Amino acid sequence: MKVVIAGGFGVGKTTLVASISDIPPLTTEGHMTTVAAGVDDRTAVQAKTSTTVAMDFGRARLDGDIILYLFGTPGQDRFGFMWDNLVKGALGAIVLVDTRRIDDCYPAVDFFEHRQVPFIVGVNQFEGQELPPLDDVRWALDLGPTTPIVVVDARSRLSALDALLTLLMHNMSQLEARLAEIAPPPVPTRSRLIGPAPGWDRSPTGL
Amino acid sequence: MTPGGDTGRPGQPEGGDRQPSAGTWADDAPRPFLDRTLSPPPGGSDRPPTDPGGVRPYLLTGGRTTIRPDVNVETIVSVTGKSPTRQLDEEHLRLLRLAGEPLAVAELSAHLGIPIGVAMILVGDLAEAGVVRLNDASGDGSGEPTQDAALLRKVVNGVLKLREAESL
Ligand SMILES: Nc1nc2c(ncn2[C@@H]2O[C@H](COP(=O)(O)OP(=O)(O)O)[C@@H](O)[C@H]2O)c(=O)[nH]1
Ligand SMILES: [Mg+2]
Repeated sequence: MKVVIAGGFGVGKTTLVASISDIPPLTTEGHMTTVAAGVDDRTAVQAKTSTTVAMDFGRARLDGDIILYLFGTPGQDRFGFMWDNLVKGALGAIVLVDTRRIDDCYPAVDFFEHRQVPFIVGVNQFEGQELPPLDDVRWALDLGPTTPIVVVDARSRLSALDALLTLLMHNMSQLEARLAEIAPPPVPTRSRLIGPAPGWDRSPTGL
Repeated sequence: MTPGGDTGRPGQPEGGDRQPSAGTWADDAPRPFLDRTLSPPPGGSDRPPTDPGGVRPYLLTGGRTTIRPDVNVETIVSVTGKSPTRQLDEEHLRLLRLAGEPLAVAELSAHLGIPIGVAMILVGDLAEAGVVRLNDASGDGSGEPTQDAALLRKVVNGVLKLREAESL
């Protein structure tokens, strides 16, 4: 089981992985230029010019011999190779946001919405910073009404675990909605209570 | 599909039906509360941990760029003890030595200081040579977001336990 932690530089990804992981986070080089080079000429050029980024890796052993793998990635990877591999089979993603540099997380939000990966937004509060209302963050990110936004202190294990739980519960409610679609329950109003399936083509919220 | 594309949100490149609200929104004009500081980001630790020493990754993989579909970043690699059915290079052998204890591909990559994509290709070679076994660690084995509510519940309970232990 794995969870992806995404967001811009310095937003607290490594810190969050460390707060949850049983081992100190390992760092690995995220890019694989040669793979992109095999795809087509245009991506090959992109790959050569793109910066190499580090990916954090952590793991936490849960009861029942389940190991939860944590991957932190800046998610600036335009050609998408590593992102595809990261989200394959993932339980979901936590997108960390520094509201002073909110557009850093657009690529991640776009990607997860597009690929229908369950995700939540974690707003990090840095020293001496006053947070804008979360509704404003939701508006700025153009998030759907069902995508949770939480304030998280990535340095606190408790806060990090709470964010993780929010993600898992969100995933669970999406899964239930999917299962209800496959086999509609006898009471027809139930699917309305669950809410619309997340889509990236809905109109902007809060406008 | 590339994540993000070239423009930020809102004002998506696709779907021209999404109009930014007039006068308040432009890619280079964030809302007032989003006033971005011009100072460099804190931390900035997302640099590669190792210098590849000028060796291009494709040299490590013999020019191969294809990753087997059964190799993912969190795939668990363990040795079979069988002798290899194909010739292995020095990089392969280094990986094999580390995999004496079952480890995720990402972990092998970090320990060896090789890019994760390269590790994925090399691990695929090892599997082909019969010297390692691959175990899908991503839940129900489908590689898709899990459809297994019982499994998800187990994970939730596991995290709840961690949380309980922490708040004591
Ligand atoms: N106040 C505060 N500081 C944080 C938080 N998360 C991370 N930091 C600090 O921000 C800096 C960058 O964090 P880091 O995890 O390296 O960011 P990364 O680049 O996303 O991996 C470090 O000095 C952290 O201690 C948070 O939730 N609150
Ligand atoms: Mg980091």
